[in-house]
Amino acid sequence: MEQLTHFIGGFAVALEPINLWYAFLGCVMGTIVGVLPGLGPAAGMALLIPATFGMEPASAIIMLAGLYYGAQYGGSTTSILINTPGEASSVMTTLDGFQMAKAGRAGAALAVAAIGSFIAGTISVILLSLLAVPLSRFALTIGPAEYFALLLFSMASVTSLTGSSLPKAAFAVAIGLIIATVGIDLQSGTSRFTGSVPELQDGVGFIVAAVGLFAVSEVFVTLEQMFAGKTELIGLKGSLWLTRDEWRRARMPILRGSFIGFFKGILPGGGATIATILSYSLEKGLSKEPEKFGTGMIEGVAGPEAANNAAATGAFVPLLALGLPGSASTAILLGAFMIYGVQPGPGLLAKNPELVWGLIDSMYIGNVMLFILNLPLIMLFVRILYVPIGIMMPLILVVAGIGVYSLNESVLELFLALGFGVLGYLMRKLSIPIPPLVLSIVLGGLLEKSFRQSLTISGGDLGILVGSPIAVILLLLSVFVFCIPFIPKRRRNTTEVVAK
Amino acid sequence: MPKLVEKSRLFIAAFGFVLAVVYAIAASRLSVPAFSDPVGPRMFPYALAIALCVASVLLIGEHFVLERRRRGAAPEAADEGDGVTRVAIVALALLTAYYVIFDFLGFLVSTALFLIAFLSFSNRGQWKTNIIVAVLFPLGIYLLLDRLFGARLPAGIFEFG
Repeated sequence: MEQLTHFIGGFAVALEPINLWYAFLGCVMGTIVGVLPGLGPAAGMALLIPATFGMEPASAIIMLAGLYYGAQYGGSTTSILINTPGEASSVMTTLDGFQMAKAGRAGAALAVAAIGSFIAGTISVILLSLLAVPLSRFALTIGPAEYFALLLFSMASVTSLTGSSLPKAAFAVAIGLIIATVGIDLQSGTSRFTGSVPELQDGVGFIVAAVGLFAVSEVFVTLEQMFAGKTELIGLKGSLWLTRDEWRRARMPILRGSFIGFFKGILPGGGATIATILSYSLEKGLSKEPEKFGTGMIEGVAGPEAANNAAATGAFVPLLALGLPGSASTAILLGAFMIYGVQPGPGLLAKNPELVWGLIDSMYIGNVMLFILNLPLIMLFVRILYVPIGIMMPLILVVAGIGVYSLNESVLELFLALGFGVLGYLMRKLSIPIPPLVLSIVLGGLLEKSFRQSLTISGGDLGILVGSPIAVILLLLSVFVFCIPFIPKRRRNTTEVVAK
Repeated sequence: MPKLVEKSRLFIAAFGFVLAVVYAIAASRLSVPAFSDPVGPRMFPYALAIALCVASVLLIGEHFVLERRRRGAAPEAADEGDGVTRVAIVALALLTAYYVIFDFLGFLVSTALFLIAFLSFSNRGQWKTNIIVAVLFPLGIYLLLDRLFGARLPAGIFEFG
């Protein structure tokens, strides 16, 4: 009953005209970010956060979330029309989507992506509404020692499941945690690793890091790709709708993709991208004509596109119920929560029901908005692809610079963002995954705080870290997840699927 | 260039060891206040220095495992093209120059100069379009952010922008 009250109360927040407007703006920006090949949702959110200062927390978070799940809709457009995924989670869509476009069925491919995304988005918000409360009740039994174990589990999962090399991901986590120790130590008041630079007393701002690591480095790489060769843009021809036969073939993959995506999204690490790979493999396995996959099969677009949207929503379950992000994008969203004074952690839903339910309910409305933006209005967004990349990229750099400067009016932070841009660029060149680094920068402070709070409670006895069944289970799970890549068969299969 | 990627784990590990040592030394010099929690400000950084060393050891291990597997197989490719390119270096130089003049010349002038320089490189030959973009984009952003939203952008020596 209490859940129903909160659910209805959430709609009261989500339906406020100002919040509807911000949800719409977020969805429009998400679609644009999705359509732009050089800009992902993490970079888009990092660029948008400085512009939301001064807004109500609920409005700001509704807009940022709109951008996040909106990008999953838009990401399919470039996969289908220029064979370049707008986001990592749209890679599988290129396989059959681009082939459909070449065969003159671009309209049908875009339509099935939008319909699949809408159905999956809506199913997964319903599942989110049902699961968030029971999980948050469990979360209330969690103390600092259990939260420490939970954070370790999240980091172990992201380390183990992101990229193709566990040591490289572990390296990225360690560097991120080291960066997170810069600034004043809140427990003892000691200034750590600041080099007497006053701007570093508050630590390295995660927005500065995220803008550099994602936006700046993505611009560099996109420009390189532009200079290396031209991409072919296939024009939209024919009807933007499905034939009866296409709908018959697409509906089950959409349903299966929705559930695979949602439950994969709940687990930290690899989220949406791995969900699309699982969905594609499943549809290929179930098909009577598996050999035709890769030549323009609508099932190969419908399943993964449903899966990436459902995974994006699934990732909200641990984020809202436990205050635990499982990917770079949700880590940035959690960082935004902190900026707006919302304390992340297991009590997030209990302490801020209006904000959390306002956000969840805004996603029902956001999905309808995105469906309209991505089907009848997709022609408008496709026009963005006609703006030369050579013009778009420096403009993104200017917007990134304004975003960072407006935080504290500090030129030093501009150079810091540039430094992170170079770091992100080198990491891409050396195939070191960036998401574990960003996740560690955001979670590092919380990890150390929960560790030290536990030991303060126990008077310095490390036994408290394994003092409850939940903590022990989570620590064992962390060790298990960390060891997954060392299981030879599983590893070979995953890398093969990713490579394909 | 694939050679660089193949050896990359050794370079990263070497960097990791150096950083871990420097970081641990810096941590050992942190002052511990008389009334601190039982853990204190040093222990977590020490643990991270060890974690970085462990990651570096794992990288070296992976390097040798891959090298054994690689014999006779195709060379490993980087995720994002081969090596650092001239394009990235030029982009970095232009962005650095932009940030150097940002505060001094103010938002409007520095951004217009940056865009003209960058566009003449990234959108070569389209000088009419480039000039229009370089003038109108900063102006539009300025009117939107500075005048409408009240965000403070640097005015610079010309006292506008």
